[in-house]
Amino acid sequence: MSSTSQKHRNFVAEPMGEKPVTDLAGVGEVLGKRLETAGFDKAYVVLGQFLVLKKDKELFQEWMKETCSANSKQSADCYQCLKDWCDEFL
Amino acid sequence: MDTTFKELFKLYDIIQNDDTRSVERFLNTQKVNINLVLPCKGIGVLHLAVGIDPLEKSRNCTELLLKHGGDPNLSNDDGITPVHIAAIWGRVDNLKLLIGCGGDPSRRDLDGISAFDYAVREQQWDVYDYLHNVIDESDSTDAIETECAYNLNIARVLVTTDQMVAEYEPLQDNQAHIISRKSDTIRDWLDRNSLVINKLYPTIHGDTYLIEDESVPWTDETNTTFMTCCSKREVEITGVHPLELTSDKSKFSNESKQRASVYENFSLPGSPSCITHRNYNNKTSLRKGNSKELIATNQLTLDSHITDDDSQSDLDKAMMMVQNRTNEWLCGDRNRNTRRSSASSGVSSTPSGNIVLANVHEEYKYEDPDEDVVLIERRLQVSSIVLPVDEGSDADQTVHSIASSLPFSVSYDNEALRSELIRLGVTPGPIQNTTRTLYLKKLHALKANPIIAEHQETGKTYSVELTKSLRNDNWLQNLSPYINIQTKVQSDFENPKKIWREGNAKTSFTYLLLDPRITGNLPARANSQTHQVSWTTFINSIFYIGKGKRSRPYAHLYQALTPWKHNIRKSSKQKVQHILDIWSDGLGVICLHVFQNIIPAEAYTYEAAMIDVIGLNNLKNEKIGNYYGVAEQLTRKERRMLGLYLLYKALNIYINEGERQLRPDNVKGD
Repeated sequence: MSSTSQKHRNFVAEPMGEKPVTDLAGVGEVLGKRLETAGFDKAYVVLGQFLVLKKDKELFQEWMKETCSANSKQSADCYQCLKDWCDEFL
Repeated sequence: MDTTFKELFKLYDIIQNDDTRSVERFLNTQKVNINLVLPCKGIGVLHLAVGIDPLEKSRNCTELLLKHGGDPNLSNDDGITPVHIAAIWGRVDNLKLLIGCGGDPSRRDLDGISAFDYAVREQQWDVYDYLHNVIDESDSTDAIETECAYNLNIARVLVTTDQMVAEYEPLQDNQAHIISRKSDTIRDWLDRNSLVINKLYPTIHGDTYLIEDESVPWTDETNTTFMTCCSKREVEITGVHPLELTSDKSKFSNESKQRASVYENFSLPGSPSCITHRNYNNKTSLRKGNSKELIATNQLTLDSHITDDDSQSDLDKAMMMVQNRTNEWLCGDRNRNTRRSSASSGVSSTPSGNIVLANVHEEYKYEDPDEDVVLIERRLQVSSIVLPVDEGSDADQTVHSIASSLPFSVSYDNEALRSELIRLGVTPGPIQNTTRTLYLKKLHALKANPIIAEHQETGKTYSVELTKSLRNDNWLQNLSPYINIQTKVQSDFENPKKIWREGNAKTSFTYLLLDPRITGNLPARANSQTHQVSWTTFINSIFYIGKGKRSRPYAHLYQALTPWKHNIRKSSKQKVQHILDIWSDGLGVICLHVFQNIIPAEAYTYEAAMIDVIGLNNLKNEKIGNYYGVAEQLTRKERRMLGLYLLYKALNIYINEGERQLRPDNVKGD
């Protein structure tokens, strides 16, 4: 699992609390802005969407692409990040 | 730990000294783990319940304990299980319950004695007989019963369309007559009939068939009318209010008067020559009064002539009646300006005329008096009957078709989207504004490539050969290697000089149990969808493969029937559990009997080959099968090829025969 980024590890290390959406792995400033305009300002809102899609990777990635034009690497990172977080804390 | 035992001892005392009701109260109020062996006593409470006197109480207590999760295989320090106890004491009823709930009759205690041995030692011959049958089912070595141990009678005929169900029951007096002619005649007749109508429509002949007699062998419980119609679901209606026909008598009293009359035009050239065809004018009036009698009294004003030799025509007449009645209620139905017909069942409404598709179901009562078993077999006819309805009079009629494959552009409402996704094997999460488009896309993708998607969704991994065949049907283009293997295997079994396990009598067959929740009356859809889709559905729906004997074709369901009768819905046996689940959903298990009239060894071999190709872990079977004869020398690949080919044949049989669902008679269908 050394392939995960520092950002990923930071996020998965603790409960997300009120962390901003940009703290998610795969979500940088640009994507973060777009997500905020779509109403997803906090990481937990994205988590909500993630859960509503029943943790389905395909659907979640599709959603990321639609809402903030994320590429597949970004959305996969974000998916993995939330997935691992859930495995840890949910 | 101590407290649990305290409670358990209390329960023990109650079972021993008090009545059933106290036991029930105790179990309902206290939460105790009843699957413990009591110290000192050396047995568990279920052991006790199985063996106590009187019999009545013992049976009730056993039932209660099993319902509360009692383990029929709980062994004490000597390895004795409740099953052993029941065998020793000759408690057949208890034994049936225990085995139905997953009790293992072949388990041995620490002295190496099984329930079977105990039954012999204690000379409990009832138990012995019963166990013999049970063990016979899983691993049989006994002789073959040749005589027929069951009765099969037609119980009713159901005609259904989107909106209504019409039920017909044979009159007692005439039953013998019908039985003698058996189902096939009816099936043939209906098939032929529907085909004829199909072909003829909408070209209506000048010829007519007239029915005169009202007292033909179809009647419902009241003996006064023929038909019980239930409106199946609400339909949007413009103008006229719907016919509210329900089998519930009380509802009719407050019905307003409604009247419909119609002139029917159709001919039935397929019927035997003994029936004359005349120019007809068949006026049917359907009146639903405020009478408290069941449904409308159907008044048929008909003049008709049936010249015939009696035996032939009686049944035909009966079937005519079915047809006629069907039309009759459809007439009532015609009142509505909006009619729906479902394009998914293969025929679409033509603009030139209105047709209604009706599916005919027959229900048979299967009785095995020896085993005290009654099952209802429901046979769904493959081809729907197209019922012609006269046209012209209703100019403003509109026909709504519900196609199952709408183009992507059509907007689904959330409900429709959900059901469509579920139909394709995906369980979607909440469909809301943020997820809607995603699911629409998913649906689109699924439709473009359904096989792979469906296959993934089931989460089953099949053998290489089967997986390949699910991906595409290239293998069908060259079947000869498969046919060769089968011929080779088959010819070996036809060698009369060999002595086979269980003898050479050709009384066996192989059966598949299918889950109706997955098939969804596949044979009816088979024509309108690709073979590939049918194949995938078929494979996914199989949950058990076994071998059966002609004398008791449904013996494999008996085991599930005992717990069912006692309202137990849990069993540790996967097969039984699955059957119970299906019954609980108000459906019947589909029994597909394939490869009839073969010798037992052959049936075992086919069973084994099919289990191999699907894979044991995808079925509820407990073990892999045995191969006999030449088949023993086949390589694993060849065995799987044989299995694949057999399954393919089974699918064809299934599609031709139509769906037959079996359920206990106290489960309500529909």
